Amino acid sequence: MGSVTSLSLTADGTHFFCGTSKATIYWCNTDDIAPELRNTCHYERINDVQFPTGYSELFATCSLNDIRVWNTKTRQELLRIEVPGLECYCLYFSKDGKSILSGWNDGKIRAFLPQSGKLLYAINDAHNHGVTSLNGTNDCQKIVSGGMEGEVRIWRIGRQTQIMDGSLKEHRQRVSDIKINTQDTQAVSSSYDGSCIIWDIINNTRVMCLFESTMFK
Amino acid sequence: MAQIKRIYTCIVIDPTDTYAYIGTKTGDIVEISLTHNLFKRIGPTKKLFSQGVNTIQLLSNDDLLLGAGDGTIAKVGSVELKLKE
Repeated sequence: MGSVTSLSLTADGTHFFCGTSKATIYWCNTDDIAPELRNTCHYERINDVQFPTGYSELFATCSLNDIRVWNTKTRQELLRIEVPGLECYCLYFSKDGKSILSGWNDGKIRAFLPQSGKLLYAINDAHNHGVTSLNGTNDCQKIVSGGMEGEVRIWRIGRQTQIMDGSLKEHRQRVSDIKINTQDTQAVSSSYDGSCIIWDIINNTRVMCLFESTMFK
Repeated sequence: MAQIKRIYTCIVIDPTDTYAYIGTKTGDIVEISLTHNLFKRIGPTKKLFSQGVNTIQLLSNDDLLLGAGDGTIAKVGSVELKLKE
């Protein structure tokens, strides 16, 4: 994969490591050059890192083209979910552990099964220019997402359906992060325009707005 | 050589300090004699490495191990500058 960028021989010259531009390391024999995959990584920027709730044995990262799930202890790649040509901005493990939610630059929210990596559902056109932040409630009934244009949207997740409960447009720039309180009543979102807004996600109204001359990220 | 300009990407010097092997972006290897500062030869003549030679290592049996831009790793014999595998 990719072009060879470096070769490094062992001291006795019988084996060597080979690094490529797609961030993979191969271990080869110098006699017959049989490559054996040793290490992989994302080769573009990593946009988000998430652990599942209450479980630190594995974590997921998202980058250009793919989401990867890693084992924390062995640092091995467990799962790779590939969506070619798109960029994943944010990740969220649902509280029940039954899905990995992800926000993409084509404006879709995609939910994947955490073991097989298969697509569970996709919410088309969730946000106009990309979904930049995601969070879900503790009962897994709702997800709150933030978009590139500053809109915050609340989705009700049913067994087969995903319905938009409310669309709240107060931020002027991209939403950088969303958190939900433990009672599932309020959510707070931060934005690049320097504001944090606390929302009531039951009635879909604004509770409080905080301004600061900084860029929340 | 003459009119062709080459962009060198990597260099390796043999243990006796007499020759240097240089990989180029055009995908060939240039051998230079360090004692006379002279261009010796160029290879492999038949097949160039596509997308350039990115890195060279010298093996203990004087073969050259090189990585190319299209992702191939090749072994080249230093005596005849021919592609081995």
